[in-house]
Amino acid sequence: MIDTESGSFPSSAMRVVRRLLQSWPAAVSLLILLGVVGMAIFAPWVTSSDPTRGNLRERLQPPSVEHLLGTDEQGRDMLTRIIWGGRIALQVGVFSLLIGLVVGVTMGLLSGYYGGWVDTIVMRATDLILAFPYILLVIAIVSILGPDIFNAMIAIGVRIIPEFARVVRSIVLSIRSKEYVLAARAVGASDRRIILRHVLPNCTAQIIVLGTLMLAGAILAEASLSFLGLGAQPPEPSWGTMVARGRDYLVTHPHLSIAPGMAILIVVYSLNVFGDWLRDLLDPQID
Amino acid sequence: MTGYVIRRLLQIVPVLIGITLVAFLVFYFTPGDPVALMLGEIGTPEVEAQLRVSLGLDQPAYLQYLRFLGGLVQGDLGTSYLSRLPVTTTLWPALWATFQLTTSALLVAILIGVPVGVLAAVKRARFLDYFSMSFAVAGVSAPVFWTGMLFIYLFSLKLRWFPAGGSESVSSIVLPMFTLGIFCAGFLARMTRSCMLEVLGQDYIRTARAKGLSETIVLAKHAFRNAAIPIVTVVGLQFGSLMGGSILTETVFAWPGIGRVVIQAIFQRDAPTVQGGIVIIGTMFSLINLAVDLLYAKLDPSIRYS
Repeated sequence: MIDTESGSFPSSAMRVVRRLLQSWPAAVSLLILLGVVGMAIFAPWVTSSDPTRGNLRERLQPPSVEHLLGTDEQGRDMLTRIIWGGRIALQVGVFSLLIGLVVGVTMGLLSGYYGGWVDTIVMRATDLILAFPYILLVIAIVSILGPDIFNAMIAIGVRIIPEFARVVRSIVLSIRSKEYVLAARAVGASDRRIILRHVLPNCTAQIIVLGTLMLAGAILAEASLSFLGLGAQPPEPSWGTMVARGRDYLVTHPHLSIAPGMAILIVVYSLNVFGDWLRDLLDPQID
Repeated sequence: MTGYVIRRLLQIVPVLIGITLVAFLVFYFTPGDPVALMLGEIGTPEVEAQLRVSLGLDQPAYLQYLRFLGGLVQGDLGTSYLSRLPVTTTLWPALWATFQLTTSALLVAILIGVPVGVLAAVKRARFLDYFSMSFAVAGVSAPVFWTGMLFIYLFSLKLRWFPAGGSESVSSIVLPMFTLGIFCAGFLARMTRSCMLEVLGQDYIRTARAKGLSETIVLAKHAFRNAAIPIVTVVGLQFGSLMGGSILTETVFAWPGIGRVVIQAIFQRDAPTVQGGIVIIGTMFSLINLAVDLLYAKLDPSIRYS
């Protein structure tokens, strides 16, 4: 039924794990990402202080045993804020990715499968979204909706839609006239069934790869928006906001900006390395 | 080719209309009352009403949009709420500053990214390849605003080699140029590497080597020349995305570019400037991408027929 060459699920999962152990950069990236996800989920339990409430008597302290990364200009523990910042980064990243993925994949499936005016409308819509530099479109949408973290998710999600729509559409176009699709239609399968059972499964590999790389982009976009003051609003501990606020103390306390920026770099770097590895794994012709 | 060019030119028309629509929506939904913003405390109700009419703000949204389009075709992008001057008086010089920044950043990116990519492809799966590619991934993963601040800390505050911001002296452009260039160089190095690897796997490379040509000639004449076509495209498309990255770089370095002007105008609620800036950046971005597409179609005939 489902056109995969790799056989049943457990054996292909084992194959992925085996390949992962052969590539240490990808394995390390995955470990880092799992660590960040774990910290973000369990932030209230792994940190002891409040990420938003400060203590002015302890402001701008250097790293110490008590505060591993020191404290910020309001006396808040930097490590605590960075861990909570991971929560915001992942929340915005994952939710905007989901918006882009669900809407984009649906649009791509419909546009590739039906063609005609559906295709024309979808393609012109994606053209329009891609007519702006990434961050400018996100800024424009946030300006329309108002600057906060929820609207940032929507804005980034909208920007991701065409990426999925285009990739899925081109895959659908290439398999629409394959024998098994024609056979399914000949035996009277409905469009809905053909799309969900025969077409969509062929797109999953590419969707997963693209999703990983788009998540990296979404996290960078959230950080950029918050850096500009158009995303998360203080006192929310977004990494981008933290870098921006550390600016005033760059001469005396550079770690206030360096540490949260390093967190962004590590997460985005890991996502990119892992995404590249996934792409090579699922698309052998590149190598 | 002509058919392709016409088709591609026609495609851009709805996109340009869409850009004006997005820009207008931003204008329309910018919070705050422009009349209060312009008059401050001095406005009487009569003066305020009069100003509202003269700005066209009493009209329904679609009429305001048509009025905006009407001005646009005559080269009028509107008047700033704050300076009361045409928005183009600030936007054109800002666009020029952005152009200077992006072209010099692109130059940095090409000078770093292309040689690194070629080298990584030649030394494939060896230390140099892994080493340079891990830096290339870092280049695309590091947030530009953060790289910029690291540069300011290191090269301006500590070493005092370059100014931390502004555009007063010639050396002011060095840090923003490298900040933006390195971000782009990472991407370019990765693309160059994969283009080169693809070419190096071709039969004619094996033939050239079998003929006994020196490795330098094989790489320079046979491999790089063929890899250059997709690389040119990538460079062109990067120029567009540099306009996005420049928004952040300009903000960090107080470079007087169009991105910084738009961001400032958003916070000052100067809706016409935001609107004009979005139209200009969107149009430039689309035209650059169009030019790249056409150039690519000229270089690679198979594109036109797909």
